[in-house]
Amino acid sequence: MLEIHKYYKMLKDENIILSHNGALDSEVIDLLLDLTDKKLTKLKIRRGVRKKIFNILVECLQNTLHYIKEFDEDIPIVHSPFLIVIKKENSFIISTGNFVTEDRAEFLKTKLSEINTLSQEDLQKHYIQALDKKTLPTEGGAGLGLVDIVRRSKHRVLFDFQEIITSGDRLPNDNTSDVGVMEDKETYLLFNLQIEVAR
Amino acid sequence: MENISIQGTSKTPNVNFDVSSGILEISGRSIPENSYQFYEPLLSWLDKYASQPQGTTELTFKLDYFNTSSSMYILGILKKLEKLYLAGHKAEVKWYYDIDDEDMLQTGEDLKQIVKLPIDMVELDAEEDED
Repeated sequence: MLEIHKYYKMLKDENIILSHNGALDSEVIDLLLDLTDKKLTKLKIRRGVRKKIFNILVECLQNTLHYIKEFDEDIPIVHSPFLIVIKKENSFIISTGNFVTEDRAEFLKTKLSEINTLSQEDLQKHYIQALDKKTLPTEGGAGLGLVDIVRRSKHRVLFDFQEIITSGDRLPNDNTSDVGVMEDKETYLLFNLQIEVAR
Repeated sequence: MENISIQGTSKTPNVNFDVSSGILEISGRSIPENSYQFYEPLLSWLDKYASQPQGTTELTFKLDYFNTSSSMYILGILKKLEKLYLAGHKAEVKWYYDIDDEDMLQTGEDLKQIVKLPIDMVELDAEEDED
């Protein structure tokens, strides 16, 4: 009982619209999008803002899904991403978390730092150039997703990498079985991406 | 050559490509995880259509949401039509956007910059989904 009260208080105090940690697949994405949109509609949030949040969530969740698909199911830590949508006084915060390899972390760091230096105008140019590539992707958006997220949110994104987890560590939300024990030797970093959308 | 008539889902749009009238429409949500799978048949259809197009081809986009991988294919469709247009056939594009949806308007403007086609931006004042 106590735990639920604590959890409830946190959700309320932090104005959390939605929180998810666990499996992610096509159906779960549908559900998360639908739930968020319903909650925002209930809060009478403008349609334009709702659409913006919806689209940013689509990019975030599908980016994550494409990434985790590359890993075996028996690396549970990778298959257990996080999502929180928080209502602030003048904006919404979309915060995502997922475990990535060191290589991926380097790639994201470089890409996001580059995007964050661009003005809205340059971002626009960058987007058009990337969109107008000669070849069409057979899967995913070929790195255009991150540019699109920043372009839509009109804010610089915040990001960090921490909580290095190596072989033998358990998943933070697992204390019941051995599924959280990592079999491989790879090091994973928790990648947190935070996007702000004005209300 | 057959028409294309696809019913939309929570992730894919309604598609109506009518060969006899030259009226092509895409509407609804376009957020598939695999855009290639969905859009490739549409691009192939357009290649065939381009060999015997109608006097005027009218393409309409009335989208609520789209992801970035769809936007690349939307551009792919527009480029097929651009080819037709530059070869001397008549073509018109209508890009609908919700009055509240600045991103949909922006994407329409972006596409206009990339392709040499008459793209008409049509504002929608949709109050109906305020449930």
